[in-house]
Amino acid sequence: MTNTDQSFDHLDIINAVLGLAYNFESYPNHLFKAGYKLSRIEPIIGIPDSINPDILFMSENMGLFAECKGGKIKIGSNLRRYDSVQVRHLIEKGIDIPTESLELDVGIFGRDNLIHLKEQLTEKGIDYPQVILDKTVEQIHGRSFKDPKLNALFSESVEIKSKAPLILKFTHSSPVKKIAPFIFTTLMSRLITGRNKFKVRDLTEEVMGDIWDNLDKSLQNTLVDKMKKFLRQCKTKQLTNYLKNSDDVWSVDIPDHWKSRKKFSDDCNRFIRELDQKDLFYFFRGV
Amino acid sequence: MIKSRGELHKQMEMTIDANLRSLEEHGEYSEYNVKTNIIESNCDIDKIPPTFDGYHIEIKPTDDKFLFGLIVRNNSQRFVLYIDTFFDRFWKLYNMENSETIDKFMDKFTNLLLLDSLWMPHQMLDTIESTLVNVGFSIKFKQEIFDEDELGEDDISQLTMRLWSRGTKPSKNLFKLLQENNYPSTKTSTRVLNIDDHKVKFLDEVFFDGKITVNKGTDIEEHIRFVDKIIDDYSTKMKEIENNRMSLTKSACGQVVSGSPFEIKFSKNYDIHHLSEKIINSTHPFKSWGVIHDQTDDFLRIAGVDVHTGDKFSMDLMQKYGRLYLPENACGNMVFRLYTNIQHYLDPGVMIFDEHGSVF
Repeated sequence: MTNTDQSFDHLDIINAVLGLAYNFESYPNHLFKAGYKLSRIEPIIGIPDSINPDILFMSENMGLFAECKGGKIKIGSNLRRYDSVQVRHLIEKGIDIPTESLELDVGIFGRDNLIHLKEQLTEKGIDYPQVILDKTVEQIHGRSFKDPKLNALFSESVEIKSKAPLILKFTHSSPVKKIAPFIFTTLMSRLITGRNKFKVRDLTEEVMGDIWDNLDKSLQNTLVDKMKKFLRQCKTKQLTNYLKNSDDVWSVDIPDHWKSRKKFSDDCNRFIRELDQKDLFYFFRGV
Repeated sequence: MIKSRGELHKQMEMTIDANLRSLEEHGEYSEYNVKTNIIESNCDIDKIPPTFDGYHIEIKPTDDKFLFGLIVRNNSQRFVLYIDTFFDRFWKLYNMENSETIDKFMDKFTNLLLLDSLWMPHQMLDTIESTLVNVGFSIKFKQEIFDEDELGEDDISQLTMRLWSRGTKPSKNLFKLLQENNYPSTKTSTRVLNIDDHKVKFLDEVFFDGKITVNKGTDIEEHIRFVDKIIDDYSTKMKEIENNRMSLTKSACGQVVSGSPFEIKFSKNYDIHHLSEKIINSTHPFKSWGVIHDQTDDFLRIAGVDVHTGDKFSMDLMQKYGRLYLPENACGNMVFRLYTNIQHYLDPGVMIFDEHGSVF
């Protein structure tokens, strides 16, 4: 279980921060401009007790730990210790060090919840730079970044014109609404490539993609069960004309005509829209 | 039926010689031109289905391990192409048949699941011209996304143009005129002359889809070398594009994200809801399917499938921008196809970027 899953929009904030490290015009590219690249997501670093920051970015001479905060209350017991990480700890973890004089820094990123977190952070003696990513991106509280380039970039309020890029699509515990589109694309991909008959486990593995191998067996089995429930739900609702099953073997059938595919797309969109609040369960936790 | 590569070269050379003589003596071709179609292949030759869309195919090996004869029958028609599979990913199909017959066949052949044509945006055709003498071009732009009543006063809904000239000046001047006036200048073919010491080695026309016609020539080797260079350039670009495919891997310390999304920059603002409907309705030209899973008035997110290959992709659409996310195993030709089709059917001034700058 990764700590990207602890709050509903935590993954959104992670994506919002990751997006800063790509060379976009449609989204602020502060970290890219300052020369930072994504090094690790959720590195576990022993100093010697483990800490687990959300993201580590690395430039030619700086490392930046980014902690993504979605809530108004929870700070996390280890956040204060992020400042204690030294280069030797990264080396121990097999992370490439780009320069002899690498300096490390920490930043807290969030939405308007950061306004509420300020007091608690101060109480705990944490004064890392705090950057709000909402309608604008800007440092609002905390000490300066050690990197003057970041200071210059984050000191100015810059409008965020679009949603953040989708670097991480979902995690295994994301709400079903976030995973459903990728289940539908997997069904369509299977249909096109002549693999329209499938076992639920195979479908689940394909949908989860890169994540699958990182999950332990029991979690994989739980996800397969959830997928079965999801498919049954699809079959009884908008996708009744397309899905069939006999025990664990399912099939998807859509006539090979663009109008039929369009209809399937419309039905999938309707299904996604109609996932009401009751259905906004976390995929992992189930209904 | 040709049995070896040497015989094929000989026949192609005889055809271009006969045409050259006939042009000089009678002012017209005596044979069908030698043509080469480069296609993108993701399969072995034995995976080609023996029948599709009314065509029946027979594959005949030759003395050359990489060269095969392809006998095609369709109703009463019978014609022959030669497939050269030396370059694993890019096959060359040589023929000396009626152009219309071959074009129709290639349209269906490259629509097979694991095959595709090339999709060269106009920048790649410009690059091909740059080392040769450019003596003509074709432009074919047709607005397929928006109806005429949705266009502005200055928008062009359709432009078809074909220029052939003896020298390079008319071609350059007309093209400059189009660009200066902001008219569609997306070439769909370019006509290039390779001259060495006043001797024409070849006069070839290169089309965006990888078809290369020998209009005039004296040396088939030069034509083949030229075709191979196009493959090299396309292949290099393909590698660059596929290096951007995104994946998430577990490391000893956290997860590592590889690759990055492409950013598409339109030359003007578009109604994204209308645009997305056209992009993901599975039809020509985009042949993509998708579901929309996050939308506001000026943003929408698509989880999509390339219906030509079954590859998945994700896309964000904004009025002025798009983002394209290609997963680890997706075929990079989708980027060529999407971008080239946007040029041909929506926005001739569109640009596409990766982390290093403009892709083309």
